Parts: sequence; structure tokens; C-alpha cells
Amino acid sequence: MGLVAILLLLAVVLAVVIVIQRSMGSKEEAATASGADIVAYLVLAIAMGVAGFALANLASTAFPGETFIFDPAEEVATSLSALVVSVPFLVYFWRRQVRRRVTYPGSAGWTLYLSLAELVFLTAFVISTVSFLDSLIAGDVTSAWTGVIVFGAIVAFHEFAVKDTPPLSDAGELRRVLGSAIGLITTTVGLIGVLTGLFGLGLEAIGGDPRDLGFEPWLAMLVVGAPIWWYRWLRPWDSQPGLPKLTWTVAVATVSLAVSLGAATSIVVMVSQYLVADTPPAGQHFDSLHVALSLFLAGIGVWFVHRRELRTAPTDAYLVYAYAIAAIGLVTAISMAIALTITTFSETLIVGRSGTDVVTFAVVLVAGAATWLVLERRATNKEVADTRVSWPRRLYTLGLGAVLGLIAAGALITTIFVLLRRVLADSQSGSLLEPSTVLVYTGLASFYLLRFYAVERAAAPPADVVAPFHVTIICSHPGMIASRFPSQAKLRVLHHDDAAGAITEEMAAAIVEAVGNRPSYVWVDGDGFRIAPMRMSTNSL
Amino acid sequence: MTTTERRAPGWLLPVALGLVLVALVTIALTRGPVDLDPDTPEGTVQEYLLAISDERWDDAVAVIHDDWRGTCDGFDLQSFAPGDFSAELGSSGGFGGSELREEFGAIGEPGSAEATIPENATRVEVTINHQNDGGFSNTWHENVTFELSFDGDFWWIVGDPWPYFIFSCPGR
Repeated sequence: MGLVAILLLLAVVLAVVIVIQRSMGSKEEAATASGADIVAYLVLAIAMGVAGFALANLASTAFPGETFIFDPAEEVATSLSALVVSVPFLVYFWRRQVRRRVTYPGSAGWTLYLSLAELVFLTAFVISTVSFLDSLIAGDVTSAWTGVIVFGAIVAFHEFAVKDTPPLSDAGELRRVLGSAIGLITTTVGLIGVLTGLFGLGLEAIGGDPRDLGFEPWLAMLVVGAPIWWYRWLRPWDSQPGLPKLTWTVAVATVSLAVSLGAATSIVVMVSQYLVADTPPAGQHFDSLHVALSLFLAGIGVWFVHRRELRTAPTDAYLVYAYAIAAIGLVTAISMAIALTITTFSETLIVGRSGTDVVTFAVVLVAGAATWLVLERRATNKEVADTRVSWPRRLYTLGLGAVLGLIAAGALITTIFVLLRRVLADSQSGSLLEPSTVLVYTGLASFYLLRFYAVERAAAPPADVVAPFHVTIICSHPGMIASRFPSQAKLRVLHHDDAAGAITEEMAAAIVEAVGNRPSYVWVDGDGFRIAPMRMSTNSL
Repeated sequence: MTTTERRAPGWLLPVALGLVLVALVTIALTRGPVDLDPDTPEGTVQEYLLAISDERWDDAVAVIHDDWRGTCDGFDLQSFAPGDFSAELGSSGGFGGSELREEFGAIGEPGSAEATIPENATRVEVTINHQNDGGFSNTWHENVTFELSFDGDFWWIVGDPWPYFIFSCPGR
């Protein structure tokens, strides 16, 4: 009976595949628009997702281990139904898109599909494997291994498909970046957990309170995440970094430095409080020291690896990172200066001293101000050689200056309101300390930033008037050349298979100069680049 | 970047910031709590809390109105004694004591929900800051309201004031 049912299901699947193939086969070669391609890849992604998770569910029902399955028959029925519907679409669209990739190798749909598959199936694989290893280390054997096999096979299947036909579009590296993100997050969380456990053991040994260490899940995350991160991030990349990789590098470098500086500041705060203010006994006061140490070490390690990448990246990527950290430092310093000033001059303290608060505010203020000064000056020095003020600096001076200016304006309104109310209604009403403190610090910072913006804008050479023009670039990888052309350029990129045809940073600058804001074709290969003028009627612009 | 004349000497800003910081920290660490007029409701509350902070239990109980204190004494308060704490006028979300004083002035006005409170009674809101572990979250806050009644030229604490020990006194 079971065999008949399976044969019946296979017959249904086959019939659906044939029906889809016949209905779409005649139109297949005519559909060349990338929009149609993206829709096809989205259907493929949905079919792959439904089939993958149905298969995983079926496998875990078949091999439940020690897990309790509430209603196996219902689980099997649900999984088989999903497979019957999804597999025909999966088989048809996979085969269709394999053929189309030969004709259209630069399809954005393929990149989008691979990114979705990476996000969903690599995450599922990581969760299954961590759960499996966690149970294994703890001595339990559960059904989690079925997820490892199924999702691992799907990830491996896509890996081979990528080796066969790698994505060639501008965002082709998006899949690797997503995989790196999954690996890095898993590795870092696991590393922080393991380090926290180890430092907790150390604190316990020297007289701290006993802690529930629970190493297993963190160790499992570290063991699973690290190889994935290595494979996706640390192996050599095929070409110059594009926008996805640069964005991720800048984001991780910024966040990891902020976390490690925050953790280091927290440690200094603890020690300073212990030395200066009245605190509980050391065992209690330093109770969170092991967590801060772990965050610092993990953060500084992640920062080191990603900061190294920025050395070879375009200058703008480094400047985004430097000004982001400078902005975080400045905002932190302003917040702490406001808190410290209010604490110092407040007339509301009636009992005790606010020693621990004062120490905290002062230490964090120093850390924030030092970070701001160092990073802002490094970024400024990096820009000195350039002839124009970079867009990250304009965003930093104008954007942050405007936000701080708005806060100062709000504080000014509150200050005037309190003053007027005192004059018109009650001379004792309201407090001026808080709004005036906010006004002074945010106003000064806003003035500092906006003054730089105004001076730099006035000193900038007048912008050339450029008419809109078209540029078609034929290469294997465009890199970041789009960001180097003026906004009037309408860029079109066509890909070819010659791996030597990638555009480097230096080449991008040379191409932009050679094009000289004229409509052009640009061919890039192993011999460098060649430019031909583009003849076009004036109304085509 | 084309600007070359846009910076003051590099040391000026860090030095100025450092001087401001040292001044603020010095003032903050050497400055004690404010001295409130003992004839005001806030003054009574300060007296009560200072006595608890200094472990002068009988002095603390002495500012509680006889009608509420009953048989309670310093020993009853001591058994509920909190650890190290500091106290500020106002709730932790408010702007401070002066805001609260104005709020108390409104109590009893026509249409007010609190109109049942007599003119010789008032409330004082206080934020109690308790010491905790190290790191950034080194204190936790507790918003406390003291009720006071004016009787015989003195604002007495009435009700069961923080740390809420009167309910447990023998004979109540």
C-alpha cells in the first residue's frame, strides 16, 4: 500500500512537470527581459524553500530519535503534500534557469536567488548543526542530525551550482557576504560565550561568586560558525571588493570597534569606581567583569580582521568607518558631559553622594571624546591629499551638525519656556539646569561641525557644468567605478567572461579621466581598457 | 579637502575639554547634598533620610507623626534598613524638586482629583538610588512618595514611609 502511494505521488510530480514544461516551453527563449528572469528565480526560490523544509520535516519524522512527534501521520501527510506541489516547479525552473544562465550569465535573478538560498538554508543548517552538536556535547542524541544532513546537502548543492556558473552581476558577491555574516555572527556569539565561561571560571577560582557556565551551546556555535566564516570570508576573493563587501566590512569594523571600546570603558569604569567611590565588596562589584572582558576580546579580534580589509579598500570606505566612529564618540561624549554637568550642579541631591555616577560619566566622557578626536583627525588627515571634501565628511559635518542643532533648538525652546513661565507665572517653577545644559553642549557641537561644513563648502572649487552622458562599460567586474563618475553619467555595465577584465581602483580613476564626461564605450580586458566615442542622436539623451 | 586654515592648534581642544572635565569632576565629588530648610516638607524628608543613612534610627523615627508611629521605635526601622543609598528630590523621570513643589501647590484646587488632601498636608516625591554591581548599571532607582502633615509648627511624616516598616510594628 505504501509503495503504491509513493508511486502515485511520483506519477503526479512527473505529470505536473510535463504540464509546466509544455505550457512554458514555447515562450522560454522569447523572454529575455531581466524582470521575467527575476520572477522565475523567485518562483524557484519559493519552490526550493518549500521542498527543502518539507524534506527536512519528513526526515525528522522518519528518524525522530528521542524527540516526541505528536502526530507522525499528520507530519508525513503535510510534508508529502508540500513536496508534491513544490518539486515539479523546482525541477522545471531549475533546469530552465540552468539553460538560461548560459545565454545570460550576468543575470541579477541568479544573484538574488543565491542570496536568498544562502540566507535561508545556511541559517537553517547552522541552527540544526548547533542544536545537534549542543546535544552531542551534552550527551543527548536527538533527531537534529536529519536537519544537518538535509540543509547541509542543499547548501552543498548550491555551492556546486555556483562553481559551475558563478554570478556575474554587480552584486555577485552578495551571497558570500551573507554567508560571512551568518558565520561571523555565529562564531562571535559562540566565542563570547566560551570566553565568558572561561573568565567566569577564573573569577570563581579567585573568590568570585559561582556561576552557571553552560559551555555546550557556545562551543557548538564556535565550532560550527568558524569554518563557515573562514570559507566564506577569509578565502581569496575573485575580484576587487564591490558595494556589498565594502558595506559589510565598514559596518562590522564600526560595530566591533564600538563594542570593544564600550567593553574596555566598562572595565575602566569598574576599576575607577572601586578606587574612587563607595562600592560593594570586590566580589560583588566586579561581578560582570568576565562579560566585559569577553566582549572586549571578541570585539577587538573581529575589528582587527575587518579593519585590515579597509587598508586596501577605496578611501571613501575608510572615511565612512572613521566618521561613523567619530560620530559615535562625539554623541557619547556630549551625552556624558550633559549627565555629568547636571549631576554636578543639581540641587536635588538630599542624601549621600553620587560618586559612582560621577566616575561613570567622567570615564565614559573621556573615552568618547578621545575616540572622537582620534578618529576625526585620522579621517581628516586621510583627506588632506584629496582635492575635494569627501561625501562621508559632508554627511558627518552637515548631517550630525544638523541633528545636534535640532536638539539644541528644542532645548532653547524649553529654556525660553521656563524663563517666560518664571516671569509670567511662578518665579520658582521649572528647572533651567537641564535644558540649558543640553543647549550649551549640543549647540557648541553643532556650531563646531556646521562651521567646518560652511568653510569647506566655501573653499571648494566651483563644480563643472556637465551635460548628461551615457557610458557603456564591458568588463568582468565593474568594482566601484559607478561611484567615481559624476551624477550626470548614465552607466550601463555589460559582463564578459574574461576574469582579467575586472576594474581596479586605479583603473577606475583612469577610465573616468579618459572618458572626460563624453558619451563612450569602455572595453576592459587583460590588456587594460580601451575607449571608443559613442555616436548617438541628441534626442536619445 | 582644500581647507588648510581651518584648525586651531591641535592641543587646544583636548586641553580645554580636559580642564572642563577636571573642574566638573572635582566639584561633583567634593560637593555634598543640599541643606534644606527643616521647616519645609522637603526638609523633614531630608532629615528622615539622612538619619536612616547615618543609622540614627531613633532620630529617623522621631519625625514620624505620633498618630502613625504608634509603638514603633528605632529598632523596628533598623530591621528594615536598606543598604547604601543616595536620595534626590523628584521622581527619576522628572525635572527635580522645583517641578514637584509646583505640583503640590496644585493639590486641593477645585476640580483636582487630589482635592481631598487637606491644606495642611502634602507629598514629597523622592528617588532613592541603591548601589548595585559594577559596570554601567551600578545603581537602581526607586521612586518613593512621602506624605506629610503640618501640625504644631512642624511638617511630620505620616502614613507608612519608605522603607515601609510601620505595618510590622508590634501592637498595630
